[in-house]
Amino acid sequence: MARNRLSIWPFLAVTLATGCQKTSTPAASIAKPAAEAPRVAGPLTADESKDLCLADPGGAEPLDQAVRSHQKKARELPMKSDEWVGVGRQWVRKARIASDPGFYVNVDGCAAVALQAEPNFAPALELRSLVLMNDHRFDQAWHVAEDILRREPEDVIALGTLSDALLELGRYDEAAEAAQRQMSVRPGMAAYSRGSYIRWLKGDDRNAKIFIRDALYGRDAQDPEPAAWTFVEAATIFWHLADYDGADAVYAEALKWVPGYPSALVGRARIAIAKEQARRAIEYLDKAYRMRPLPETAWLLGDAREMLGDAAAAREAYERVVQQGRRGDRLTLALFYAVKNRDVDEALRLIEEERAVRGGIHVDDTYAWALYRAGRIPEALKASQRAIRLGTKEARLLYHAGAIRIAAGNAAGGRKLVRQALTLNPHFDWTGAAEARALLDAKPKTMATN
Amino acid sequence: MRRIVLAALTVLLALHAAPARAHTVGVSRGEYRVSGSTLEAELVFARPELAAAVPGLDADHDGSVSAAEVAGSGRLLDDVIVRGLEVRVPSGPCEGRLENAALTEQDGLAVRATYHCAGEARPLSIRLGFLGALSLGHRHIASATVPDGETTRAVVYESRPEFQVGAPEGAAAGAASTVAWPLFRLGIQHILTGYDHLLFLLGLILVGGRLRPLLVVITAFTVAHSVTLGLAALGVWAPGPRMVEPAIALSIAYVGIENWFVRDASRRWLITFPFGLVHGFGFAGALREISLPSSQLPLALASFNIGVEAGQLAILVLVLPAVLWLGRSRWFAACGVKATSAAIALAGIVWFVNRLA
Repeated sequence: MARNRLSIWPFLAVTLATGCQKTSTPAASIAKPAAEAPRVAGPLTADESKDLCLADPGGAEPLDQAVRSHQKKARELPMKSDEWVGVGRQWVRKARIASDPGFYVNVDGCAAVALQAEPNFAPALELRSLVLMNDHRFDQAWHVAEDILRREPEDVIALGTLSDALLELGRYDEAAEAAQRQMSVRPGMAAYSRGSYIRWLKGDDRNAKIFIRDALYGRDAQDPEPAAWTFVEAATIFWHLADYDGADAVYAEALKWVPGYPSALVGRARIAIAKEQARRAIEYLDKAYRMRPLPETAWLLGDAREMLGDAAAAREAYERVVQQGRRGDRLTLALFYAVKNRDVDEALRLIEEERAVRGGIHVDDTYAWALYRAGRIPEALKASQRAIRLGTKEARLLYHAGAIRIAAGNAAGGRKLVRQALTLNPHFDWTGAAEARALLDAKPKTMATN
Repeated sequence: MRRIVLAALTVLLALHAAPARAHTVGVSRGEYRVSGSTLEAELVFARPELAAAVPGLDADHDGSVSAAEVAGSGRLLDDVIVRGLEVRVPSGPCEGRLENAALTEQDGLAVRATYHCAGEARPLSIRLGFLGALSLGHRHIASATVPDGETTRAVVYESRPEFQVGAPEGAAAGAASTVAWPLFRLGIQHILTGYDHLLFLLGLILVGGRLRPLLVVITAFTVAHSVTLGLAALGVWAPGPRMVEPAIALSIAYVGIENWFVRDASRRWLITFPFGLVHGFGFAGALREISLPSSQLPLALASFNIGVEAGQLAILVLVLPAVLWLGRSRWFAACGVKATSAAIALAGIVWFVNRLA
């Protein structure tokens, strides 16, 4: 999650979620039990873990062969934790390339088997921390990463996980520190892309670009997915700054590395929508949705269809947002409801649940917008202040903050923020950008909560 | 040393702890017992996940599922879970009935159902049609037993929602299209990156002069390797790679050396054929690594072999005209063939030594 945040901005919230208010209450944050729903009734047994690790990957692609080849070694040398970790790492690749988070369950199986043989085996704990991140158990991921780092202070993977977990929890300074440590230990794609994201969050888009460019120096044709992902991150920075052509070219580059890469297709679709090329957007989105049925993809699909005037088809796509969002993506669904100004109570319920496990400016922004839609302006104002406190140059955050300030009676300050949003990225969102323009066009007295 | 072994993929793992959009992924368990014409199934889900998948289960919307809510949700669970679990025997679908549903320890909810089939419930296929309603990426760990004690274990998910019980090994195969094309591509890839096979092929076509004997030689090689590829892949017989790989290297060295002495390739197929048999066992190694279920083997084998032949043909289309054209040159016939053959022989010897080591 941590990474795609950058790649999918409108839903960034979903993606990256970063927060802030928890910075002041670290202890509470650590102690707070995860409110996340249990994913399984009871722990997995040893046999189940092994079954998951050794499950057939399906298909006959080279990656599937790699999984099988490592599984074969693990079967031959079952007492060697390394072999089980080797299988787990291949499952991580599979999860990323197939865009199926379910393969992290297989990763977890491998980590469990390895940890059974060797309880403190750092590479297995690294896998476990990745699983926890994927499972939105950010506080647990953080603790596992810290545990690894106590024994191996220069563990690059643990430093990355630590930074990502802290970001998700909204503990930005500590996240930046962990990223810096990672950069000192091993400068490269992982460290630079993380550094880029943190700089972007803090409004330093110039250095964000420099870092992401440095990250791309490390791309490796033998392992194209990380390069594709990093290109998507780079493109997203351009998108936020309304350099649509630049962003589109970089998304296209990502697609050269991994053809059909869903995040890149979604990025290109967003740009097509910004340019009012709805049919082109639908083409990209249909393809992306087939590969990865995410709510944000369906959301954009609905927007593109609406742009074409096909209300029924748009409704169908929006229904998919709800359907897919209910399958485990509360943040996107809450943001969708709030942006579309529907099911506001449900939006509030979802985002409040999300706030129990995750912090960050995008969670705050979604919370603020849901409160605004519910007419709870004073609370919305507080949440919105948290959402923009880092100075992030993201149009959605600025527009929401501006609209909330106007509703709170600060018309001048609010209008300034809305103008900033539209200057930064005039087509940041089909619904939001139109509302922002209408808000600026409206006479001050008509500016009120919907 | 361990760190070196595990160094691979460090960048990938360090890049981002949570890839793409993370989602909470659910896991459920299923115990399936076959008895006569009946299948008993007990499926256990995490309550919150099932509540999200079965609208109305959490009737009071308090975020949890109580025993009373479960008791009042028989029809809902029957609709979504029992009917969503499609059980079939060769004679047709089996009729499912909800037996009961109850809360279990550790926040679980168990759904028990019985499926009555028209004939003996074996072999049967079980398809979990409700996976699309559960969390994205949901995994179902299935364990099925039949009366003789045989247990089938499977991990089932949305894009592989079906498994077989009591069927011949591997019957849980996916659709033919998911096998044929990847295997065809694998065949092409295998020959195009199999430099030893390519070098052997080049050695064969260097000498011969006329097109017809060359085609006979190539056909003999193709037929031979198809035979042993089939034998090995179908599990009839296959020598181990420790024997096959050095033998392939030797065949390359032999062809390189023989090219110094052979002028007429018309009878060369006699030696090409047995060497082709050896190379076929080598091709089979790639298939063995995939370890496809046996029910898919014929299709996989055919697809892979066609891929190998297609790759081989593509190489020949490119190289053969050049060789035939060069063959007209007196210099090439006198020196070029010998020099190239010497290089081939040397490569074969080096590989042989390496593969023995």
